[in-house]
Amino acid sequence: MQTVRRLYVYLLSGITLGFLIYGLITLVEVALSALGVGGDGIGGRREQLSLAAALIGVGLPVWAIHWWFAERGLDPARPNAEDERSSTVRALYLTMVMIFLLGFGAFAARDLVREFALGFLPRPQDDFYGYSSGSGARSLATLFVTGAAWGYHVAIRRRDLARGPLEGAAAWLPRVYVYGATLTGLVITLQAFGDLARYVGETLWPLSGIQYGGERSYAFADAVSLLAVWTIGWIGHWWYAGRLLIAAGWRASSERAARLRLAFFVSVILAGAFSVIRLTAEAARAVLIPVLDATDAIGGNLGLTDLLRAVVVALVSAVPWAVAWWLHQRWMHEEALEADDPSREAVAARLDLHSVALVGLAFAAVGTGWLVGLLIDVVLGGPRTVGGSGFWRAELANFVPFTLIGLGVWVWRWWPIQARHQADPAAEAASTIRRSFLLVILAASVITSLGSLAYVLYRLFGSLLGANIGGGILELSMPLGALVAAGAVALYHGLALRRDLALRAAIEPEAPVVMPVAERSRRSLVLLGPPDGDSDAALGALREALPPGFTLDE
Amino acid sequence: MSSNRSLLTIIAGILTLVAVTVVVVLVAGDPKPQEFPPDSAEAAVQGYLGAWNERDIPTAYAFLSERVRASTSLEDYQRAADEFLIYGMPPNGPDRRISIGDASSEGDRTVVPVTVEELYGDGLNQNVSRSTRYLPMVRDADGWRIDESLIWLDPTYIDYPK
Repeated sequence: MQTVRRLYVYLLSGITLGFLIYGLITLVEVALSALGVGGDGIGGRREQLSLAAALIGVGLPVWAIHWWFAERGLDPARPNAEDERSSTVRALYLTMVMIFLLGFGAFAARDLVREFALGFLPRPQDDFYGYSSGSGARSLATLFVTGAAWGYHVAIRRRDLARGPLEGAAAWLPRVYVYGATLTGLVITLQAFGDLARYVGETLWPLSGIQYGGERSYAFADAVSLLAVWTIGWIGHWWYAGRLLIAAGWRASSERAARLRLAFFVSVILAGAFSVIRLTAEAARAVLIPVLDATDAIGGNLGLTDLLRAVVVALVSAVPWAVAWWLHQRWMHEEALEADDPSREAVAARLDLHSVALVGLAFAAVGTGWLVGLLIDVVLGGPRTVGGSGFWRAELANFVPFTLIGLGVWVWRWWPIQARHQADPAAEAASTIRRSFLLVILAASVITSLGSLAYVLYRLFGSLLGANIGGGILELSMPLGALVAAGAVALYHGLALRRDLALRAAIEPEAPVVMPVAERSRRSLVLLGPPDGDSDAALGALREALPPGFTLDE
Repeated sequence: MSSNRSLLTIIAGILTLVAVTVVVVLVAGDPKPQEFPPDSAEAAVQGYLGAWNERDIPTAYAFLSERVRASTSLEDYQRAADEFLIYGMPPNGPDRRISIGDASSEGDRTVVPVTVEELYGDGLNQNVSRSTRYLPMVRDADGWRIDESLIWLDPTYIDYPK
């Protein structure tokens, strides 16, 4: 019943908050444009003012009533105050509101910075691509209103946290916001850095045969604005997450032990490994294109400067990704070493090794599949084609780096995984991380194999039945390549999983015969301890001391 | 087989695949076109595409059926072809290839499948767009001819003012 009430109260609060915020943005925009701030682009001020008044008139009272109900539930004098504070619905509401407000605020801030940067750059007369938002007042109003609302909800959340420990969804849902915002900020910042590097590269060494116009200003302003806004977003949230680690009381230990923090580190490692391999492969591709004589296939006018620029830009863009990868990997290991739980370091090491191996394997498998397909294509389909040798060379220049760099990264991480397995097969076979890794790969490769096999069989049956489906070996080469690569990956990892399962079955003791509960004597106990006491440890000690035949269940 | 040995086998296998593919593409990447029987429908399509590749528009025109040629003069066809080539659409390029499939007949209708592949994007985004067209063929007095008004492989209605 309480949950249904909460769902109603928070849903209505969220919807009416949206009305209120939109109305306030419109109102502030009208006020700013009337004062001549942020341009005077808004037309029909009276209509806008009417809209703002209507939205605020509807949104404010309904939001205020529902939010008052929600907040009243937290009054310490009320019996269910603690349930309200630690409810999943409240945590979900605060998380969603903060995500939306941050997103809209960041968009508005990006527009403002972009417009500001464009003021110093040449821009074309006509805004053909519609890059310019045209209303600085709108962006300013959005930033102001969403910023104030975001600050209010952050303060509410901090107050909830200050009142005592939170567990379960009430603790981890808002963490999704903190680490999600940090990850988003980091990824966009590094991506924007790459775009900026590309812009600088093209400015220092212009593309052959291209006459640049003012439209490049938009690309530059886009990259600069994203970099500026999301660097602040990323550093701000990361700083807050770091402060939690050294906070007093329960929050530091709760944060250190949080699986979401670990998931954040793994996400950055995955993104870093993915981007470093992708960008390094891009640089290798630029080297291979002239070596394999594939220059014509990607653009006849490419010169040495173009290829050199492609190499430099790709490698420079890869550097911050590599640094982020290395730093987060280091931080994850350091925090694991400092953790109270001694098994945390083994978990961190396994996550690190398996996540990078996964990315390397994905690149190597994609590259190998294409190369097998290419080989089938050239050998069996070549005589049927008219032209197209540069086509194959371009594919070769693209997928040889994927294969070799992906293979190198996979071996680099898979080798120590194998060494750990040989040193302690039982522990590794029992690891959930290793099993998840093998199952993820098995699922992806089986799905790819099935899709490819279905297509190959479709073509085969079509030929046998005389269906007019054309295409010949060209249509079959890539599915066959994917089938070979995915099948090999599935076989190798499937066998590893089978060995692990056999090993676990051999070492796991048979489950003791437990008498049905109804036939056993039963007493319920209450375990009490100090607020910061380790109840798990106390429970463990009690279980150790039990005489034979007795069990202690929660 | 120990796990290290299986890992070394995988590495060796992939390196061999890379080396073989590079050699095959570089050495055998420009195979001689398949020789179809001279009076086959596939040979007519091959001749038509070969003529377009050489920008020999009158020869390409000659591979169209009597019915198509009766509706479009060589001059009009040449003009339409010149316009087509202005827009930077070379019939075959290093980033495009065309494959001729086997002719098939159903009743009195014969078609030859022609698959056009184009390479686009780069890096992880690189992909191949592939489309297959079925060229209707007819046996005229001169042999197999394409019975469709085509500019290269695009169906076209040519109607120039006289």
